[in-house]
Order: sequence, then C-alpha cells, then structure tokens
Amino acid sequence: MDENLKNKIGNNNPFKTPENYFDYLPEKISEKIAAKNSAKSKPIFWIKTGLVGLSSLALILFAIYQFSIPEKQQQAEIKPEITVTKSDSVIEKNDSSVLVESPKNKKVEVKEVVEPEKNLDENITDDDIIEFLMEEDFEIDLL
Amino acid sequence: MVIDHDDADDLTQITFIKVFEKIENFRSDSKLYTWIYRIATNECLMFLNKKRKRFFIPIIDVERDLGNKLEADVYFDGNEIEKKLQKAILTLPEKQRLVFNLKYFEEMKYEDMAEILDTSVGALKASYHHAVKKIEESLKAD
Repeated sequence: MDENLKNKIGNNNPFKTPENYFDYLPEKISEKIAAKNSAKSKPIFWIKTGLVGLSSLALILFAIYQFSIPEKQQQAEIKPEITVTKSDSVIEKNDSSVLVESPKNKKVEVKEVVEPEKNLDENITDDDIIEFLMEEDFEIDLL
Repeated sequence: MVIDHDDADDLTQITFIKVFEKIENFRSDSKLYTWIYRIATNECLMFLNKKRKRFFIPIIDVERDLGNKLEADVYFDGNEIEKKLQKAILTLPEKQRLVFNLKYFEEMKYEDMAEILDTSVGALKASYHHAVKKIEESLKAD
C-alpha cells in the first residue's frame, strides 16, 4: 500500500530531539509535578482570604445598619424627685433648690442641687408639685 | 503531529505526568504502552483543538501555521523531499494524520492502533489507505 512512498522517501522520523533530552526529562517532569502540587494549595489561601473579606464586609454592613437607625428620642418623664418619709422632712423640688425642714429648730436650709436635665418634662410646674403634695398626706417634720 | 519542539516537549511532559497520576486506574486488559499512547494522542488532539479555538483559527490556517513552523524548525533533520512529505501530511484531517504517522513512521500494528484510537481495525485500514493516496497525489502535484 505504502511501499511506493517508502521506496521513494523512506520512513525515518525526520524530527530529532535535543542532546541528552531524555536524560533531563525525568527531572523536568518531577519539577512540574511538584509545582502542580504546590499550586493545589493556593485555592485554600484564596478561600480563606475570601472568607475574611466577606466577614469584614458583613461587619461593616451591620455597623452601617446600626448607625442608620434613627435614634429614639428619649422621652424620659422626669418627674420631680420627691422623697418624703415619716421621719424625714426633706422636700426636694425639681429645681435648683431643696427645701429641707427640720422639726426641731424649724430651720430652713436651702441647698443647691444640680440643675435638672434639659430633657425633663417642662410642663410640670411648682404649683403642680405643691398641689401634688397637698393631695397626698405627707407628714412634714420640722427640725 | 504538533511540529514545534517546545509544544512536543510540553505534551510529552504532560503525558507522563498524567501517566503518573492515573497509573492506579490502569487496567491490565490493555497493554501499558497502548494506554500511554492513548493518553499522548488525546493530549495532542486536545492541544490542537485548543490552539484552534484560542486564536479562532480555521482548520486550514492551523495546518498552514504548522507548515511555516516546519520551515523554521531547527530540530527538523530531513531533506527537501521529507519536508514536502511532512507538509503533505499536514493537509490530512487530524485523526487521519494520526493514523498515518502511527502506521508509516512507527509501523504500529492495526490492533494496537485500534486500542489507542478506539476505532475498528477495518476503519483504520481504510483511513490509512486514503491517507496514502492523498499524500501521493499531493506530492505529484507539488
């Protein structure tokens, strides 16, 4: 079938290999296998990096969400702090003065206290307080 | 098949790496050398297909490119008529080129070739016969 061709041209392989090619081939193959094995571990690095990035992004988004919630106005109903007991006769008003009455010497001491916070309910007046006191049966001892 | 020495070198190394990785999968129902040859021919065909797709080169131009490489190849040790033969072989379709090379240069038995290429002996004989005819016509025309 192919005798004509073989007779005219021959069937020697015309391509040659570099000198000592097969002597170095095992070493080249080993290097490629080693490189391939080390390349296999790289995806693990990228997976870890990706996870760190994602978790950081999640934290940032959570923080943004938290700060973007409108602050609830604290409508603290600050009632005048009035402490009245049977033995004591301390009347504290929700203003800058404190009326203290002692049952013995009837001395009235006025003490200054810290100014109330600005967010107190300013609708409560002194009259309201007095009215409240009068409604309740508080015993006031004089010093 | 790939003409260029560097490509052939890469493919040789890839073949042996795959042999190393898949040696446990080798079943003794075929000869070891036909199994290795099968890996080599598959890698070779994949390489040529990838080359074609990567550069969007039509079939004819891949072979023309290989023919040009042949002219500049320092590892080609043949005379002018052998160079013409190689260029004529490049005009064959890839699988037929494979059959021709294995039969003409390697003098491989059809039975072994059938194991490597997973083709019947009859089909291989027909393929080789047509390949020889085409090459003879190509050389006459040249």
